[in-house]
Amino acid sequence: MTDAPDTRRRTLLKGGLAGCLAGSGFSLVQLAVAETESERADTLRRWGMLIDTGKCAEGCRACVDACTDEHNLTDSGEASAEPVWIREVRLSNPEGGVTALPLMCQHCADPPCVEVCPTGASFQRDDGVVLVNRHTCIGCRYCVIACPYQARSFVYETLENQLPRAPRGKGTAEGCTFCVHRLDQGGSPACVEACHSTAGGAMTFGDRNDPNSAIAVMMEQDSGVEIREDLGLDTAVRYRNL
Amino acid sequence: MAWLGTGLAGLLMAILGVAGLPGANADEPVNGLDPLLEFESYPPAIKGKRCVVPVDIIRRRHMEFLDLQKDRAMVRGQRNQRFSLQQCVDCHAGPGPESVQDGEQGQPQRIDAPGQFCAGCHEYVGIRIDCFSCHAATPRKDGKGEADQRLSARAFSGRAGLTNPHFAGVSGD
Repeated sequence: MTDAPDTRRRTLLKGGLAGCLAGSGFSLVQLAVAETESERADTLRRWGMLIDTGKCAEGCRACVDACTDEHNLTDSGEASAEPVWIREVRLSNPEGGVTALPLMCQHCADPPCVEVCPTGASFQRDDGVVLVNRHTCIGCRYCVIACPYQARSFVYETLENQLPRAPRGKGTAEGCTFCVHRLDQGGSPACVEACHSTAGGAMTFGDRNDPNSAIAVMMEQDSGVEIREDLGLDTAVRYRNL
Repeated sequence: MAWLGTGLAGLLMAILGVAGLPGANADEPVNGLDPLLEFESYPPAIKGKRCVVPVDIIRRRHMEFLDLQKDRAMVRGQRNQRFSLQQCVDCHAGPGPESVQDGEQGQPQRIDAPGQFCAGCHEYVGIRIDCFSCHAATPRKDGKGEADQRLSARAFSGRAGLTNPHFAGVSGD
């Protein structure tokens, strides 16, 4: 057995499955494929985030705390089951010194969590935001394992006092949503706001498809790098000075 | 062994596909007619007085409206429309106990608590609703839904003795 994915067998499997479902009269797979294609074709927006790690102070938790408050992530009390939507990562540089950076769902254009999800609960919106549909999530945790950034966590315990803007519950996977509830009302993610108001302003957020947006202008000069660029996932979150 | 996992996932998809997974294409209206257009001319809700659509219709079809709205909000990002679940909670969550000393209202009750608005009917018909294991069951704090708490207290107070107060009916409009 080799580590390289056997793409030929997967393609065959997918084709066979699609055929089987088409024959059954209910074409879940065909539907999903058709939707994905049309979404990508007329996608007008592509949300993106550019994080300048040079402005990220070591030990700063402004974005993490803002995320916790925004989605009321203080529940389990057990460290191993604690929800982590933004992970603090510290990198030791070979030349000395430490680079700190926040690592959240990278909202890949080609997300592995969506590919592995057996029910289609892990999905991508038209504007590129990757979300979990908790209505159809069966809690299998394939996405938690598939994500190369460890951006998905799982809710193990019954929750109470969820906020109206942030529904979450036991038995479902979850992760950074780019604060869609804010985006849909013209706002920007809570972490970005907090970073600008109380910290170094390392995060820039906006529509990468809009040439006049701040993020598009900045990415024109220096587009930053993707973490694990080798995976070819085309992430929405990019890092500078890494 | 990766092929085994893929195979199992495929099998699961095939079963769900044949059974018709509810919600797979639910961002389209059930009967082809969009309820948002159907009730476009119906005036907005007023807490304690008028629901988002006539009461006999919301009683029969609220599950259809909510099913459609959940996909619109989640997939398309169309939030706070007429059939928002949060709107139900804002209006219908029962008021908290009134303090004897200062007449202030306590924390509102969960809408799915025994005897409260949702549970009232769903217990009666033996259906367990799962909405509030994830969604907030108490009104929004940001002003919306809290202004008319007193009005709601009056609207509920006269029917406390009935098995299911909500069948007794708040007038339609």
